[in-house]
Amino acid sequence: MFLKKLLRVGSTYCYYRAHSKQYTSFIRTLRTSSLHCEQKQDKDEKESKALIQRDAFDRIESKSKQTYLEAIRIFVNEDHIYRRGHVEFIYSAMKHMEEFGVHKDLEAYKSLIDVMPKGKFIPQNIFQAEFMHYPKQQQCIIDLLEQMEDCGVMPDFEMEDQLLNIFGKRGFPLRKYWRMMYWMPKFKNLSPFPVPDPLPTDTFELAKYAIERISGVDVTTVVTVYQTSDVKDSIDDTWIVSAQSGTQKKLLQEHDVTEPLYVEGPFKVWIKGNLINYFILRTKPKPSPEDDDVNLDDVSNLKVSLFNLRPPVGKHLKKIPSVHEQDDGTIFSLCATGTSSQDSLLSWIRHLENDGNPKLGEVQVVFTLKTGTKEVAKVGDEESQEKIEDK
Amino acid sequence: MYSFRLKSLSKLLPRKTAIQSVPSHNYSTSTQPAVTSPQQDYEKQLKDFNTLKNITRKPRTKKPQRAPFMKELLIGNFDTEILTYPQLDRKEEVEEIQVDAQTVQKLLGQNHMVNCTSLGDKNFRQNLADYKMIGLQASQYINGRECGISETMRYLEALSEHSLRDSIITHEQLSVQTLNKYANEMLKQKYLPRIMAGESLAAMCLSEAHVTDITGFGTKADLSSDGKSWVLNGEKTMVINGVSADVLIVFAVTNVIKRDVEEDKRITAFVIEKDSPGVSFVKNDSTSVETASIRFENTTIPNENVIGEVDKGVDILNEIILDYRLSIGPPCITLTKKILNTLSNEIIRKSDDVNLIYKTDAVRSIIAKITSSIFAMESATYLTSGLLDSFENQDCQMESSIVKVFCSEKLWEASNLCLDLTGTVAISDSHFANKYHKEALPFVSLHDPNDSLKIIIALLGLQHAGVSLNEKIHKIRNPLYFSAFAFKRFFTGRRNDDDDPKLDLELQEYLHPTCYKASKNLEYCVKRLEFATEIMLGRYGPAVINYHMDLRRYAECIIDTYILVACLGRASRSYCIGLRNADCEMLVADTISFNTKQKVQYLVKEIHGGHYATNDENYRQIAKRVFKAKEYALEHPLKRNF
Repeated sequence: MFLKKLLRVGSTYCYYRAHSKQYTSFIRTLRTSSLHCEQKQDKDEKESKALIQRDAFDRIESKSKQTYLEAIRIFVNEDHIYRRGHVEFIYSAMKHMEEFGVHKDLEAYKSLIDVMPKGKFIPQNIFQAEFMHYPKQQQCIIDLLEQMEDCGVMPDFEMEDQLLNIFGKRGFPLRKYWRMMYWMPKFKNLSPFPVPDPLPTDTFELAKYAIERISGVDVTTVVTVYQTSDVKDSIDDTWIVSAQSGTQKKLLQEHDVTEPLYVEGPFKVWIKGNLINYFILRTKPKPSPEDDDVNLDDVSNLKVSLFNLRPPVGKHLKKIPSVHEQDDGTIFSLCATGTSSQDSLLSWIRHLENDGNPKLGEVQVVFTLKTGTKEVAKVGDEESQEKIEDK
Repeated sequence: MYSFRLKSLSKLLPRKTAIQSVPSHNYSTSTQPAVTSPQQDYEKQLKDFNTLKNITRKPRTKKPQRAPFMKELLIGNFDTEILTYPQLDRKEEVEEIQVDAQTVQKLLGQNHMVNCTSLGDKNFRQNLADYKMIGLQASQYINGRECGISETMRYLEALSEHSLRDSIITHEQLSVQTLNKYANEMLKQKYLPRIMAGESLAAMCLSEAHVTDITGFGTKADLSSDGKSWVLNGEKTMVINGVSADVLIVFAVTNVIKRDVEEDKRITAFVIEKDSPGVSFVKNDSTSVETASIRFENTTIPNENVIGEVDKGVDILNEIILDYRLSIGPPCITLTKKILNTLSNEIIRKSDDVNLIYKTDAVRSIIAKITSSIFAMESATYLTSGLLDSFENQDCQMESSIVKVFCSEKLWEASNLCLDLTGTVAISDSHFANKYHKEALPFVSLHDPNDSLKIIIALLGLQHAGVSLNEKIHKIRNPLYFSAFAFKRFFTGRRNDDDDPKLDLELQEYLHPTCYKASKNLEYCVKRLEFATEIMLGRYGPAVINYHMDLRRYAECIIDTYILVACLGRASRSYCIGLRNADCEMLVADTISFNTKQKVQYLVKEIHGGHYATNDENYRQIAKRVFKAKEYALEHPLKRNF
């Protein structure tokens, strides 16, 4: 025990000495490894290790999982007599995983671990076990497990057998493996905003998902898909994913006609590395309701209706603004379109108007779009002018 | 005296009656009608005269109004008057009702009546009309019975023998009563006699789709430009008897008053004939009760068709709906009785020497439970109706709603118990247990859903209590400002906190001595309710309307306590006057008192504990998760994570 402790504390101490300046700027990441500080220390060293084998994977032209596994197989077969340089091979292979698109693939990691010879590294007594028998090899596999963890790849029980056969039951990689298997399943489903797995590749599906998630703040929201081609005079032919709740419809219905509405965007939302642009239809914020003092002790005037068909809600205590009425504006609807173009947004407004928001025909709608270098466009005036003339 | 009465009556009669054709009013007792009338007129006059001759005086002396009973009970004022179970004044009246009710039951048992499946059947209605079973509370001058509430309840019980009980009661208590109580003489003359003769049928159009409260009504009536008529637009759903009815009573918004952000809608009641232009209906399918959706498109209603006053529809509703709630009691009683009788006979039939099923504990407990339910239902229904009958303008908001909730729940429970006891055969559609179960369903789901009615009961109580407790609640909620009060309460409230209230109401003095123990149980419940009221208001303040879980518990305590009051009063009365099986009534009352005490003890403990001692907070979190996912969000038990 003492030795274990010494090892850990010692390593932490080293870390403090080497990085005392950077310590304050150290970004906290959740790791299951107690040895992660060592890995940081060895970062430069690791890169120098990788130099040797760089070309082995660079030479492969078509980069896929199949060719990656093939490369590993070739290394194992070529070297079967002496089996040297595995550590260097594994490090360089790990560096190339992302290029081959296998950095989230458990099978690739398993075949990398399989490169290590079985039996040779198993410690024979407790001194060997505690003092890091074959430290380089162990560290290498620990780094590999660390990378798995960073990429969110959860090991399976077959990997436990592999590690047991390579480093024995007291090996550090196995201990790391056990810690991973304790924590990773617990974190796996903790996200309150899970994304579908596998993530759809189609932009339309992604946009639909994004809009559903954003509008999920009000559970009564209905997400509708419109086609621009249904609107006369539309130039684009694309889809519009639009979200609006009953409350928003009501708010829009109550909107003062003299106040213009704004179509704003594009705003960015990321879904696991995929960027989706979305737009909102909003207006200026309502003046915040006067903080009329509600006497929270006065029970002499409870209001009860005799015929509530559903349980009453104490709204009269204080009118609570809905989630759509924010400090920076009241949001009436939001959408994502296939082209994110101004024309498609115009179609969106038309669709909304036909879909139970007749107010949109009377109100001035201003488009304030920030499309990269383009200037802010403002065509709403002409639009609404036309409409008014029509009437 | 007789002549005087006839004279006063003559004002109410239609123009061409015998009495008015006699020139002098002073000696109008003459049976000689005007000679010049043709034969037809003569017959009509004779009929009118017979009507008048058959009028029996029903003296209804009501005692002055008392403070609302249940509402006062919640703040600790127990009005011992209520322990005297009300009875009808004259003995002959009771016997007469008994005979009439039995005749009607017999009538409804005849084949041609039983097979009728809709109130749209004119013969069926006319048969009922022959026995004066439509328009029970209508005046005797238009051939009604002029019943009091208790009598009405008795007749409704008899009418509930028929499977059309929902339609009959809704027609009687909502449509006919609205016209009878609130319509002016002109409208009454126009519609009531026809309805009461079974020639036409009225339906009340109240509910609308997706509307939770009357403030959300979308049906609108606008005054036309000349001010002589109204134009009605909108759609009403779940109109009972809506398909066969030819007279509709519609509640529509006639005025919207805006105050700041809040809107207040004013509602008016109208009578419309269904064949007027712009009225269309669709039958709602697959319901056991005949319902329809009725649509109004620019229907014109003349000004004189307004029932009561313009914009005063809510007042009409407020009263009529309470009577209607009370009248859910009788059909539930009849149906539960039927269940008990059929079930017990079935059990006797199944028992043989080898297996005396009727002697088993399993069967006995269920039979006893249903029996005490019926006893409680009857007690509560007739206590409430008695209160309404004997006191002038008595506030029975809570009591009527309690009857509805309690009776329909107990009926549902009884039909479930019956299913349990019957076993596998109950799966067949033709089996009686299955049939009764289906017949019980409308009372649970139609009109006010029980759950929200419970919350309304609790809120009505708190509303009343809040007025008189306001000052105390203010002190309780601000202990730092009123430290002396807080300290004092800390010691004086000790016994309440320890669930050991001081029983000093001495209710046993108003009951038969045999009821001693039961009366102590009742006192305990009353004391605990008072304590619960204080907790509810003190803890939540005016926001209490949002804490439905506690409100539900509180309502259950109120309901059970009222039932216990009714049962004790009735059992004690029966025991004192020596009715048959009074000892059994005593036993039932004892059983109910024991049950009620246990339930109230448990529920008030939960209210006292707050959300640390209950599951309330857990429920909130769980439900939140489901609504976020919009479905059952938990993983399948066989799911693996790695």
